[in-house]
Amino acid sequence: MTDDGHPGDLAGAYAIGACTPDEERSFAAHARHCAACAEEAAELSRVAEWVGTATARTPAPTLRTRVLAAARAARAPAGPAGPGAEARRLGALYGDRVSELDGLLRRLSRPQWLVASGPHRSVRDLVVHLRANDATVAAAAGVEVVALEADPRAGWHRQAGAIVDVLRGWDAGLDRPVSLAGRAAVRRSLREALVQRGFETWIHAEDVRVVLGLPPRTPDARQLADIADLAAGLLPQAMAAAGRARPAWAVRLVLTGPGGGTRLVDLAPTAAPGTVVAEVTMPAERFCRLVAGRLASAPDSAEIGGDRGAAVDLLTVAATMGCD
Amino acid sequence: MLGLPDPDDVRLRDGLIAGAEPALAELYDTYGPVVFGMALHVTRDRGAAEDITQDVFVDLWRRPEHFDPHRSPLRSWLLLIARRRGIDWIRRRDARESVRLATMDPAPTLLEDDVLASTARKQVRKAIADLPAPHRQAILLAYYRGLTYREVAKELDIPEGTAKWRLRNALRRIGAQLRAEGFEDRLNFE
Repeated sequence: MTDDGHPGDLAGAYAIGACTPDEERSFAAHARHCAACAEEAAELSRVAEWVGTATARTPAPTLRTRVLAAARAARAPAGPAGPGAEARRLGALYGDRVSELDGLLRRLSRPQWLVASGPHRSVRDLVVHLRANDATVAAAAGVEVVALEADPRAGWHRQAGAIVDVLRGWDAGLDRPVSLAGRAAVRRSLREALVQRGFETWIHAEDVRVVLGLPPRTPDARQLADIADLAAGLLPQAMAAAGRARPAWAVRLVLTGPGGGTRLVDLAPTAAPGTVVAEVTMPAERFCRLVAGRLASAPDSAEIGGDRGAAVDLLTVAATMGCD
Repeated sequence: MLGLPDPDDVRLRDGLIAGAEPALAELYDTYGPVVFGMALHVTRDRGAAEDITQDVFVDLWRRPEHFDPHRSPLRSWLLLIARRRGIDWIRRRDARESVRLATMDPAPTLLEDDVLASTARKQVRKAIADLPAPHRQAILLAYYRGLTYREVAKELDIPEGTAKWRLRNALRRIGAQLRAEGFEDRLNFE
């Protein structure tokens, strides 16, 4: 701090990421209220960008071919059809989870249908609940909701299969707002609702695996990434709903393994990005199970660096977001 | 601190999210040189720089939603990731080879002749070269080696306050010189 109470002497270090995390946080918090420091940091950040760009070099032409090929291998480009591509992709992922759960349900004996599963009193209740949650998305996707059937598996499967079918021929965006399933009423895009359907269907398949004495199974990496993105996007609002909002703070969520990647999660709903105060590292699959409420202890589920209180809050709230 | 997102950044990101291959090609053609150049400058290893460039673009193609145009311009974001990955690479290498971080002045590499360098790039390089040596040393250690100002202070055996001041002053001097030469907020380096 300088004598006038401004941490402006840190502006240079801040602009090039050369502060300690504590200082970075306090500088950013100060700059939110101090136009002079904010302006200096913005100006020096611009200079830092100029410096960065000055090292530009034209890479060998072979690198272009190599990078584009590696990218195509990592994620297939959409066909020329364009707008429906994402719906078909999500529909295919969801369809896989539906087929898997259906296969598991068909293996259940009559007594097993009555065994408690996940947070439900019985597998039967679980399937009825899942069907009810799917109904919102079915309606948004324009699927005619079929009449209630006596067999819960058949009723759920018919509706889920109809959603998958509709998505196969989908030729538009997925932006229309839909209520997500969950305790708190949250409206998000149909795209996010579809990711949530795949998520919940996977988690309930895992619940049924427990009943059948089968080992857990991981969905594919792309689905885990979708789920992690969905959860990361919902967390700021969930922090506020849980009374644990920490405005101007953020946590760097480092997810490892299949579906991994790094995300910045604000600890309160806000337009301005928060300063990173902590880093949480865990496998993407574990994070998804945590969000589903299927891990016993939230704080023990990850490696934590930086502000432990903020990180534990994030993990604790994440563990309450999940699938009933 | 930031204004509205750049419409080009938003358009590119939307294209990447939709899985549009032309957006991927445009992304690479626009930012390949800055990403590769940064990785090469930090690692000084062509193979490592090519690997880093590939990783940066493939990761963004796989998960375009990780880039948030409201947080930073795409160019700054890519530069930051390329720089961090480059710094990770040299740290891993140094750990492997137990090489102590050298206090050399990396300026000569920065000034290496590059016939493709645009006038703007040459101006930036000159502004860095024109810095007093202690300022230049501090900024290069912090920016390209990823040292905090405290580590810079230790490395150069100067007080922490001096290190902070040199970083701030170095950026101010570079900024002042470039603005005097006509640099504006949005600059086309291509």
